[in-house]
Amino acid sequence: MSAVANLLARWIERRGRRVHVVAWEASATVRRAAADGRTRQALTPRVAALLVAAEAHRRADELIRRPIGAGDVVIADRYAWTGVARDLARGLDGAWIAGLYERLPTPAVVVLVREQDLAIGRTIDERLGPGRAEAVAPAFGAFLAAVAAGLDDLAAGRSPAPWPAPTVVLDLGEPLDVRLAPARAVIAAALDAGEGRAA
Amino acid sequence: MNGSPGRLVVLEGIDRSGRSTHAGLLEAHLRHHGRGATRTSLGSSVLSADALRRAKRGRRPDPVEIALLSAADLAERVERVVDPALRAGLVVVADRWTWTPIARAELRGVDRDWLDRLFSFAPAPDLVALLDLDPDASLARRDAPDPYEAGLDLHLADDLRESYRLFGTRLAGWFDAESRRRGWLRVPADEPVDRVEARLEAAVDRLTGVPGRRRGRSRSRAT
Repeated sequence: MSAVANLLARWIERRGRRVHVVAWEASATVRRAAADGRTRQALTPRVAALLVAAEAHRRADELIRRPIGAGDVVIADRYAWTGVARDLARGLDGAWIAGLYERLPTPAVVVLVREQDLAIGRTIDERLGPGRAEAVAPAFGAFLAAVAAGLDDLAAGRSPAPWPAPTVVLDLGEPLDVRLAPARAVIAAALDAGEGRAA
Repeated sequence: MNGSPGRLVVLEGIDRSGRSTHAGLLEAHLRHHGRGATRTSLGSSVLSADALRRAKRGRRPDPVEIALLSAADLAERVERVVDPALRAGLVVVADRWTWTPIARAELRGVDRDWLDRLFSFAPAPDLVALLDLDPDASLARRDAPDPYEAGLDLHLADDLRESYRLFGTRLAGWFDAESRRRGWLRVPADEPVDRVEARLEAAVDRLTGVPGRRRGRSRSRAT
């Protein structure tokens, strides 16, 4: 769980609400296909986007709709915006991608945590390991930067989003407590209005 | 027109209307006359077919998830089979296209506009033929219907075959309206195979410029 999701979850629990933190999982089908040389060629950006969206919808019923229906709060530690931004970075049409996710539950608020270049560098090292990181870091780094730009475009309304939702952008430069204050204010308003969702 | 030198011919219709039989016959007919042809059918992709089958057999099938997987199945076949074949000037005969998954989802309450946008990547066919079959005749040709294809999740009836008949009636009504709106070729599928075959071949020959089939062949296979 990311630090921001964890802090927000504890804060909401202190307000007397039960919280479920749901991680955005990569599609098992896509992972298997990417690892197998015989199927990798079939895994085009469009096919991958559709498979990821299908799995997100399957998980949403169990992990999001059900707890919200029971009155709990769900924090999605990454959600449809991540899927949209990754597919934008792969060159797919923004409106078409946004449509893939518009049937998912609409968040009461989207909190965009902006990563700095240093954090992107750490992600490359962690995901690929030092040996591979050196070989493919430029390509992976460019992809992560494109994903970050896609998230910024969604937050600024420059790219079509799956649904309209209040958005709070957190820049990872100041102390966490200071950065979380605007997000807490928006979430508190949403909870007071009876909403059970957050992304 | 799909914008490529090739031609895309789609056969649609409810289950057991003879689509796959006639897709095979059309492909053979075109090849016999020296025209390159290939075939593709719903649920035959490498990556999505298994997931699609699992989703349909789930305890509570989700029509949105199934529509997305059907789109993934079609996208893979479009990118790997259909588009390259059309660019190379071949005739692609498709056993179902976007309409079967759209119909199944829309009849389960999924928004039509969303479904049209989801499948908007698919090239437009040059010819769509609807193999028109009465749901009772379709039921008579089946042993044990697949629960999802029978619409059992819609709770139309407790009995699988009765559910299949009721859902098939809705599906046939959907195809009837769609074919009228889009001006599809309609071919009665309860006629002998060679008569259905002749009508389909004539339409495809006009489209592709293949010389007409030899007349006078007498076959009386049952569909």
